[in-house]
Amino acid sequence: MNNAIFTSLMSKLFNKKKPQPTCSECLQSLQLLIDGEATMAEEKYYMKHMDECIPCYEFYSLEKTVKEVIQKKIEKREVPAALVQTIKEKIYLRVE
Amino acid sequence: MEDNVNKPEVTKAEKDAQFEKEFMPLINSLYNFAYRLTLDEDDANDLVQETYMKAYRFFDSYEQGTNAKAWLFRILKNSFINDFRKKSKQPAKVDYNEVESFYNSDEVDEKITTDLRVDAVQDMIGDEVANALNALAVDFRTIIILCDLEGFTYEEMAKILDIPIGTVRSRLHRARNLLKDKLKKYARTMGYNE
Repeated sequence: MNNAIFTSLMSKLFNKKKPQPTCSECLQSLQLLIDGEATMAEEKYYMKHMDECIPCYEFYSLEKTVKEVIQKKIEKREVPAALVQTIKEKIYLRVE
Repeated sequence: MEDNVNKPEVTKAEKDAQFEKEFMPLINSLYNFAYRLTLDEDDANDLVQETYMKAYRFFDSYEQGTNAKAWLFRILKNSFINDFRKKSKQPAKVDYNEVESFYNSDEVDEKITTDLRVDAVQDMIGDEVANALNALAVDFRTIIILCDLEGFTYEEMAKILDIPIGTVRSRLHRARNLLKDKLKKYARTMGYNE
């Protein structure tokens, strides 16, 4: 990652505007990586690509973080016991 | 090959046992999905109930050992569209032409997602993230729930939502950008510097 960090520092010093991935193919493929839908070849290619491409690395990093935060921080509700009971009664105790 | 294959009579007890085994363990997931769709506890209860009733009624058409979760989620989603969307104040279905053309164009909208920081997102609390998700239009909210919270594959989502896989991908991409916009607004109000 040294190359990437250096480039990132240089970009921050000389260019206030954050670069975005400009290639829609990258955006599509990075999403595949996030969702575990990429082939091994695609994954290998894009992990290597991100070593050299700051916009892609940052996009991927942010997307990954958002997904993880959604998974970890959104409260999972417990189904009300009364609902389970009602359903079982309605389904199982019906006379056929 | 025999002309008449005698299908063994499944007793109600056997049917109930199979139903219990395959479908009841999924009720927590379904309830959470129903709640995130309706954003109302009573509606969620009704929706889950209706889903299980339908699932039981059409149990014969379910091939055992296949994807029970996707099957149930599809029933729930269809019930939601048929019964609840009419009643709710949710915005109407999105214009998918807009979604498709966005994804296919090579121009990246620079307004989207430029300044949301990884550490700002990591510091957010559950309520903030949930509020951002709930603020999305229901179709975008749905696809994020199915992908990120329930872990369905693109193919499974295509079946649940009755859309092509290409549309799954483009809708997901659009939904995530909208979500990041919402999160960026929260980050701003929380005082994170951009």
